[in-house]
Amino acid sequence: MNLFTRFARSAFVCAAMAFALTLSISAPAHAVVMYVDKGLPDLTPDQIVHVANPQPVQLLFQLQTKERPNSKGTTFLKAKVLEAVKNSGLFTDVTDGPATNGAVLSITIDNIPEANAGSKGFGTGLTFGLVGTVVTDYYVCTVEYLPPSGVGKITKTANHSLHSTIGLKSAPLDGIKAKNVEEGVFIMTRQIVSHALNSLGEDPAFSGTPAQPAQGQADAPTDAATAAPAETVPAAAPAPAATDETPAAQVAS
Amino acid sequence: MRFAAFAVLALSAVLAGCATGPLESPQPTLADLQAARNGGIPPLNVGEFKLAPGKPQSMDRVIVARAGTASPPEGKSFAKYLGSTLEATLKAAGKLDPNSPVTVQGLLGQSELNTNMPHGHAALGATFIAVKNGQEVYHKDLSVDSSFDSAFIGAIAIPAAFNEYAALYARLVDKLLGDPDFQAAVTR
Repeated sequence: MNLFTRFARSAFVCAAMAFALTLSISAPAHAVVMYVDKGLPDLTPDQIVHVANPQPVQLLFQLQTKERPNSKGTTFLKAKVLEAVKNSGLFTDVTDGPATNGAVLSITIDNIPEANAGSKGFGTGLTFGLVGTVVTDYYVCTVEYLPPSGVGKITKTANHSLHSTIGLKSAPLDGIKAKNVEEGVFIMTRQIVSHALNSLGEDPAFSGTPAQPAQGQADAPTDAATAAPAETVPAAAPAPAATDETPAAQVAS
Repeated sequence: MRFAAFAVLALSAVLAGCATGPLESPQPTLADLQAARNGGIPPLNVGEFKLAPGKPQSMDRVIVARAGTASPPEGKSFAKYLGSTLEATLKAAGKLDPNSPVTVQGLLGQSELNTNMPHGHAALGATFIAVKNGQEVYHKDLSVDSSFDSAFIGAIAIPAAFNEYAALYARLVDKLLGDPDFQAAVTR
């Protein structure tokens, strides 16, 4: 239940609660099976960008639900985000307080639940789970890097999604089954943050010099953070492809 | 009959939710940090934050949303939580200095939360006082509020409402730090 309260407005919670309401049971966690979308897998070693001169940075993180702060979810995921930042190799030291050079890295993960998740779960409950349903939570990770100079903010985004089945429903084709909800959320966090950071590392404006291209990736598009397939993203969700919002003037050609 | 009673009980549990416990410690965002860095604010000291005179003690100890209750983190009062939020923001921005000649104090005067359907509402207000070298240089009431979707199911609506309420603390601090009168008062 604790995990459910941290992600109260997520599609999987809305659907599960509606399912529970219909069945009049209080905690249907057992009824939810989570799948991590295949569209944004872990980076392979040869995809990871290496920067020549990594610097310390101050990390700020916030989890949001539909662009509103989610304080419990932020606390829950903060350690995983910190781990992903440290593992990126882009920074020498990652701190809560001001970094010695004044650089700031802000990471926001916004959860956009599928709009009709509640009604889907309700329908599944009415049939006692015989007519199962699948709901999707979409996630947008926004990485903002404020260099030591304080000007020329670099922004990168990556998209991901989690699919949850409730009742009798076969696994979605575009998902990899997680052991439980917690593991699914952690995998999604690791993957979406590492892709967005890799995209940041590839930006010449980040280190002042062109980033060392990952082996075998020299001809690949600059933004490696390819996201969930377009067909899994509804009209209301953000565009699937990772985007580069760095002003053109800040990006060396 | 026994089944009906069980069903009603279970339904009540679902509708009520079970969100209780303390709010999370303040975690500044980039917007908060920029609010503290902009406007030429010098390093500040954070002084006493307490309940405004005449306000009920319960306002400082607990906030209620339907059957859920939330308390300030670490056993503090909500007034102290506001002070901690200011402190965390200034610290993140490198603008916290216990030896600063300017001390900011606060009186919590408003703390409200309702989870009416379909839209809930949260409001937070305080009187901020800045004292520089023993002289009051700033005294102003500031408030922020928020309207949000409020679900039928308590287990969804209650934690979401507490999130909305908690977010007001950072917004109120940002409003103080972004107030031109405050910026002028602490810099001159």
